[in-house]
Amino acid sequence: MINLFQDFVKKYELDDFKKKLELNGTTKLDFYNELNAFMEKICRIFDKLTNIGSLRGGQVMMSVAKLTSPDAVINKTDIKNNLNIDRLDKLWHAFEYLEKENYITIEQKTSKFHIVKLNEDGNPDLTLFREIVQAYWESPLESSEKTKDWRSME
Amino acid sequence: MKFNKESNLNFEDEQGISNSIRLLKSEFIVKAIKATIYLSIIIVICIGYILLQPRLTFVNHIYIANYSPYSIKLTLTVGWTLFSTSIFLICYIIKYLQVKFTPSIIKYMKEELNYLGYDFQKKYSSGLLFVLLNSLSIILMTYIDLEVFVFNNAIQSIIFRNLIIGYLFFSLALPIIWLGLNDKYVIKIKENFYILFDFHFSLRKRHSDTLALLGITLSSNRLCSRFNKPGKYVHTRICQIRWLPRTGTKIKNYSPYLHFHEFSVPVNLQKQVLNVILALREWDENYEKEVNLIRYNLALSQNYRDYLSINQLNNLFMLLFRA
Repeated sequence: MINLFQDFVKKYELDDFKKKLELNGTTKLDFYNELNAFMEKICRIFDKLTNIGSLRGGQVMMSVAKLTSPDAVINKTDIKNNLNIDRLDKLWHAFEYLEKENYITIEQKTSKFHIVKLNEDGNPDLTLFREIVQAYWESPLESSEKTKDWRSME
Repeated sequence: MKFNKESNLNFEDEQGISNSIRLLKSEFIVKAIKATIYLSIIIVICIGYILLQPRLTFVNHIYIANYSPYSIKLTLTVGWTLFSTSIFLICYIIKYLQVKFTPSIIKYMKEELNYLGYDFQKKYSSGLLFVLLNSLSIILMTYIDLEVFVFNNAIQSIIFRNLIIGYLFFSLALPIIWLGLNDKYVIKIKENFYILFDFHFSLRKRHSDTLALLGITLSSNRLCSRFNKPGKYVHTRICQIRWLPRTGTKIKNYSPYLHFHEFSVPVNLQKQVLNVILALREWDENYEKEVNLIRYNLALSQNYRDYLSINQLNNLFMLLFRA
């Protein structure tokens, strides 16, 4: 198991531009698995970092990224449910902060229906963030469902 | 900004955090004052008893009937009841002061954990255990006072005396140990799996009302012995993947058993609880597999050793026959 990105680069000689990168059969599978493991770790780091802060902004960002898809309309309640939080007022401060910092955009359709979007146009790095989060992050709602399944098992 | 007042505590913005910490502090101070008053009352009663004991010996002569010349001395019973109850209550109050849970934080945690589908409750009551064990010791002391147990044989008398002393020590020590180790708040996840909660709240740092003053330590149930190799391997792997700290509270660090520990602040309580529950789930699913795998490997290696030894014997016979 490779833990350092440098070791990964060395193993496949990715920094040696004189050599061709030849992947076939098991080496291709190893390469993909190791890359996957790195992405998973990066996502875990995101998750842990967003929990260190005293406010919920990071978790809201991850939830917006997770729920984003071309045909999805995300409102604040969807995010609340995805984060498995009992009251929407717990997220107000986070929404206010993220909107002020231009990480998300909030479109007020009605007084109660607010569409939330990740501001990928203003922050291109968020596209990669969304991609990683969608592929590897387990939302609190999913975790909660998993624990319920386990509890119901004899 | 408007907040629902379901719980008095709110950790969602700086103003809310500041107000919540002030509320917790005031509740804890009230709790400390109450505890000090109770402690003082107990100490006064104890001192009073010690000072008045010679007179009480006379008072303790309870007359069965007004005209009866017989009297019952209950010096041992009264003395033991007072001594054991005072010691237990002192330990109980010290523990009560040490555990920083206040009504508001309990309410907050109940709401948070109920939403996840778990009941936040107290694990065991050491008080009940103390009452049970101590009632028996009081009955025994009453019998001794009434001189029901009379031995002619000196050896029997010594054995009886030592047994009584042993039981008295046990009836007092066990509830105190129980109090120290088990009187905690807990959520039961499923059969044999639970999480214990410890709440830390620093009163010393007066300069700031930050969340760093608050902390909740979560500890899982016992998983297996610390010296169990497959268990340790699975535990380490889960801890690494889930970023769980290897050490927990001071007592748990010296425990011969493995536990999962996690540290949380009120805001991320749900998330951290889920992290520990999922770790327990992984443990439940992987531990048996790991043990079976090791057993299988051992069995394979044993078979291989048998096979080698049989082969060696065959070779030896072949050599003998050839000779």
